[in-house]
Amino acid sequence: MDNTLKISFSGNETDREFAISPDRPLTKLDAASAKAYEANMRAGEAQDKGPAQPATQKQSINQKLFALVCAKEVCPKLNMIRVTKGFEKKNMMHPVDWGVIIWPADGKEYIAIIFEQPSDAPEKVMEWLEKPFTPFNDENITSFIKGTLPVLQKLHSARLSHGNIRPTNLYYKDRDKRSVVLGEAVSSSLGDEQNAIFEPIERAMANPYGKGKTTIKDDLYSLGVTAAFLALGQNPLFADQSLTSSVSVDALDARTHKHLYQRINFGSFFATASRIKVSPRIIYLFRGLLEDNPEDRWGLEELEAWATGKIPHVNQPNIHKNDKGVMYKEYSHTNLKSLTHAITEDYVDGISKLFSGGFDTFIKARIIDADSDTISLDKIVGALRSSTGSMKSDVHLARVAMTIDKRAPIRYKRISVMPHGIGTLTIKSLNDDEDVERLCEFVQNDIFSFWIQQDEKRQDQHIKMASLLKKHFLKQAFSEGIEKGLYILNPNLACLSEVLQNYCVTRPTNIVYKLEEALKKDKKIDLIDQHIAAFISAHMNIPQSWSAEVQLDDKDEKKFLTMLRFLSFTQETSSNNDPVPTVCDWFARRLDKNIIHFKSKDRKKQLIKKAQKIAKKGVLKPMLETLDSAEEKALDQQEFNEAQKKYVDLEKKIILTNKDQIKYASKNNPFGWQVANFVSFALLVMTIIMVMKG
Amino acid sequence: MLFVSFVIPTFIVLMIGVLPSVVSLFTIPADQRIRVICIANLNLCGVTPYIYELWQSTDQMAKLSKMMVDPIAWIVMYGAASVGWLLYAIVPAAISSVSNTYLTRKTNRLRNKQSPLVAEFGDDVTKLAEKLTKDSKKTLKKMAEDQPGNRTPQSKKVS
Repeated sequence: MDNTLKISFSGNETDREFAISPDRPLTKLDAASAKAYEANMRAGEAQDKGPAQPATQKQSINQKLFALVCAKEVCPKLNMIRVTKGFEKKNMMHPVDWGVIIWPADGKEYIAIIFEQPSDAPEKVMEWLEKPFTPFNDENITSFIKGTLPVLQKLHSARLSHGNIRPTNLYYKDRDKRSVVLGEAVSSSLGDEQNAIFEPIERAMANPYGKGKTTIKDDLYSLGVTAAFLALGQNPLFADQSLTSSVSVDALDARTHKHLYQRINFGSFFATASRIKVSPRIIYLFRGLLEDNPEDRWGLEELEAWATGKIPHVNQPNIHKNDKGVMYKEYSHTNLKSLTHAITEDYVDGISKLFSGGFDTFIKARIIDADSDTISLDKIVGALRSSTGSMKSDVHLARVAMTIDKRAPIRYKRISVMPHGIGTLTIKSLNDDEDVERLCEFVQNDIFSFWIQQDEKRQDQHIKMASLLKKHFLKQAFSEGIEKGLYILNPNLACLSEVLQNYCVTRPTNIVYKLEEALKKDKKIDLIDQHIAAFISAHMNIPQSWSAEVQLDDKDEKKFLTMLRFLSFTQETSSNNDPVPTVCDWFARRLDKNIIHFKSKDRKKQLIKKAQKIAKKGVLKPMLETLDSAEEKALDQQEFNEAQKKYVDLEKKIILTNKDQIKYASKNNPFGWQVANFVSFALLVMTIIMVMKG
Repeated sequence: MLFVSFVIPTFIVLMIGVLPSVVSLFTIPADQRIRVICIANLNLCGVTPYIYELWQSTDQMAKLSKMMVDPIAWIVMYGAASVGWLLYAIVPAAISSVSNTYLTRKTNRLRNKQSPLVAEFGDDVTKLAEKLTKDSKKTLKKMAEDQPGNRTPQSKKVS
């Protein structure tokens, strides 16, 4: 039995086809959020159905291949894959190709990214973050930097960054363990896999999922910390221990947390690498790359100069004069950045601390000249003393934190997010109603807008994002809301609809065909789904009017036509334009319910019959045109108006008849009296005549 | 002499004969006083033959005396008045019943014409007529109250 998965993708550019072996896992090549399996390239055209052959025999690819199989929720960096596919793979594991596969174990679709294996027997430099390894000497560190520099330059020229530089993502290229290759950087865009120790202070202060995209300066910081790890042969946070097995996650988190405060108070270089015994040249490298101010941190030019033997300028470490600091929450804080972070980390206690009497005076007395480059103490005291009025205390705390530390993440309650990290944070928040509520509060309370106001430079870059958040996150309508915001902020994210839980749909034009497949398996699924609508609406240029009047809590009947319109649009836009009879049938079957609103029942019946007939062809557009025909609607309205007029005329006649009934049908009606009188008078006349005649 | 022998007997017969009509005039409510015409007409029907008989007689006083003691004369005059009462009771009721049947049928016919419209277009088609119906109910109620015999004492006063 052929136990391999064939994936044929990016077919427009290449004819390549790959075979992945699910029964051959390569655990040493696993990424933080993706599993690795052996893969082979199948040669030639798609028609070539011959057995899988090792890529080394037929293709220009020099190494064996492997595939990283990623869950759709981790949102692989598809744009980066597309750009870096053709990059030289000598010093970094750039992707070879990618595609969507159906995993045999659960029948679900996953994104698979094909890479070249770093060596015949792949081995990570550091298996886990506490495991010691053979330290690199100065020459090897220099060689590592020299090998990584062109990779970063190439990425930078393509306006990309790595974001995953750490010793656990470095692989030995040879058995001698003398040279290394940088691991992949595309399997996830969530950012949580990068430990805070490898992130600059501000990113380390953010929620793991709220760090957002990296810059080349962030990569250079990670490179500096990685170099420190390589020089030490272990994690600097555990330099006082000789570990033989991994420590608990809590212990690692606690050390990283403490280390973050040390970095904020004494600088990253001092807290991370100052005690490592290396040559002065390597110390310069650490100082240049671990500079906390990104503007002063070495860039690629300085690193290149260092690699060629020069020593670029480095700032002197800035250790605060007042090293006693303020004790709060176990840590001593020698600057306001540190204290503010501690206060915002535990915001409930922080609020009471912030508004307790004399706190500002306390700060003023204990922290002198602190952070004079970024903050004005008078401004902070002003912010603290400003009348809160109706402002909620947590909003006030967020604003004060922003005033004090402009570079820090935006902090509100438990949210601590970099501006570009709101998208990835939203992905994670969707699993928890409380998180969603907090995120909406974050938008509603204008926290992001206030952050923009703190710096004029932010206006151009972020104002669009602020309006986008307001426009979508708070709008409670079908195809709108936080779901639409999610897909706009994460354009590579696959549709997270439960209906499509077995599928990985990254392009809206595919969605109707995946729904066709899903319906064939289970006819009970409901296509009227907020995620699907939001996904289509976010990715396609859909007129606002299509869903403007449909509220989120409206009945499905009202959403029916909107969903039909959306899916019809995706089918129409799709290049293959294949029929989707099962989807059409799903809509056709629901027409019998009170879904289509025509006033005339006969007309409605006729149209439904017509639409059901059309549905058999599997094309949604004519079905939609029939059900949503403006001409039919106008005729229906005209007929209705005429019927209404006729009804009114009849009603008027009935009222007149009723009036007559009261007038003539009463026992006391004057007509009855008149007749009685007339009869009696006639009798009298007749009597007189008869009497007179004798 | 002529006055005594001719006018007085006629007057007496009339006075005694139309007594039921006179009583009706005072006992029937003001708004139904039109009944008196009906009773009076029939009452006169009963009295007319006796007056004529009286006029034909040469000795009217003797004739008058004879009539006064003739029970048939009393029965005829007062019986005719009773027939007037009866006529008055039957004719309006009969007319009311016929009108009622006719107008009910007419209403049903109109309602039957409305039903297909409701069946085809649903209750929405009645919406425009709803106000009309609501207003008409008030008018009809007022009309019914204003009908003779249904008026409250206050309304009588006002009318």
